[in-house]
Amino acid sequence: MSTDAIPVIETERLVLRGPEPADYPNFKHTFSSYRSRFMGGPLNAYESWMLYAAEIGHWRIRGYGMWMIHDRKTDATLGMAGGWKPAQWPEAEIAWIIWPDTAGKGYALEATHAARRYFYSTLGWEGAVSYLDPKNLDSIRLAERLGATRDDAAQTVDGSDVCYRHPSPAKLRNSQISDGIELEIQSYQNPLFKPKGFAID
Amino acid sequence: MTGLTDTTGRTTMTKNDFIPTFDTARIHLRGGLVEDLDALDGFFSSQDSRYVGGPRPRGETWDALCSGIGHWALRGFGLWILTEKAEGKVLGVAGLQQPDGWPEPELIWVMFGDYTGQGLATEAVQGIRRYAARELGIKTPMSLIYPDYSKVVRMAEKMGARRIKDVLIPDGPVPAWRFPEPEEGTNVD
Repeated sequence: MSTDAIPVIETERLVLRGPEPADYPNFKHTFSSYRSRFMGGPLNAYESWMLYAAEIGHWRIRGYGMWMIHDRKTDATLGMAGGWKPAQWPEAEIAWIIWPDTAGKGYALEATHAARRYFYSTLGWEGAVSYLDPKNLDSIRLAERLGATRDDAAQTVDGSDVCYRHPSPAKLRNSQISDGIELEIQSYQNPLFKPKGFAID
Repeated sequence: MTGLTDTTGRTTMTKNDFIPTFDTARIHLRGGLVEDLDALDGFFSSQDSRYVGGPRPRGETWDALCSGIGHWALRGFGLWILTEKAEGKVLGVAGLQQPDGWPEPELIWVMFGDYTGQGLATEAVQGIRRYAARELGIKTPMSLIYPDYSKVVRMAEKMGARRIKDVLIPDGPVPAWRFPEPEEGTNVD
């Protein structure tokens, strides 16, 4: 029953599963915090519950949606990533949010890279965008690390966001972008050196 | 089972996965579908929805449609789309909800403008009360109603609901009515 029909994706460090009832407190914790300011938050209890329920409903309505990112070893939740397209979205978006205390370890990169691969290769998407708040520098940098570029000609959600367009499946296949992403993920899994500087998602 | 298909025509997720369906004499109750958005938006963007969370933009109705579905996965109960048995037209929305901060499940219902005055709301609510008591273990649900919404207060009281102490939700205490345990009937299933 329930979220069993949502596909599971495994990567080196992560397991992506549908949002489950047990994960709600972690979701609420982040969505009632300042961390969620670029995702329509902070939300009160009612709003965060309704959004969490909507995350699950989105899967049934669209056939894709947001996964809960779990640590493969501990099963702890780390954030969410996946596809998102509410009524007013011009195109299907690849979206992500990483819990504040797990940021800086490349989890969002690993999760969104895997999600995008699933959408392209399993669902046959021809492309995707990410609608970002221009002040959300962490997410803009992640979009760029994923090879997305700002598309000022594209329609945005409400004019206050900017559209980043992901490389097409053809552009991504056997490309320098893909190799770069794989290498970066590798370096988080097995760091040769620890760079100083501020945390990135 | 029918499958949801994306633009490539692949089946990605089954439709009849976790929301039960049932019928009353004139109504088929089922989970929400993307095709319901226009009908829902038609009502929730109108003044008719002023006592039930509207008027509101289409985007918020989309969120509510998704939440109404996801609620089933989170609680094991949730909202149904009420459809006309014969042609499948969307008549309204009803079911049980318990968002975060609600002390217990709330029975809610709304019938769209064209379908009021025919006893359809009563039929749906009576069917849901019996279904909830029998299948979900929810025997005496409460409803939160604006006392000004006299039409609905009268309807609830006609079905035996009685005013109880205000129920505390995140917005504060709100007026509430509680339904008695339904008598077993035959107009369901």
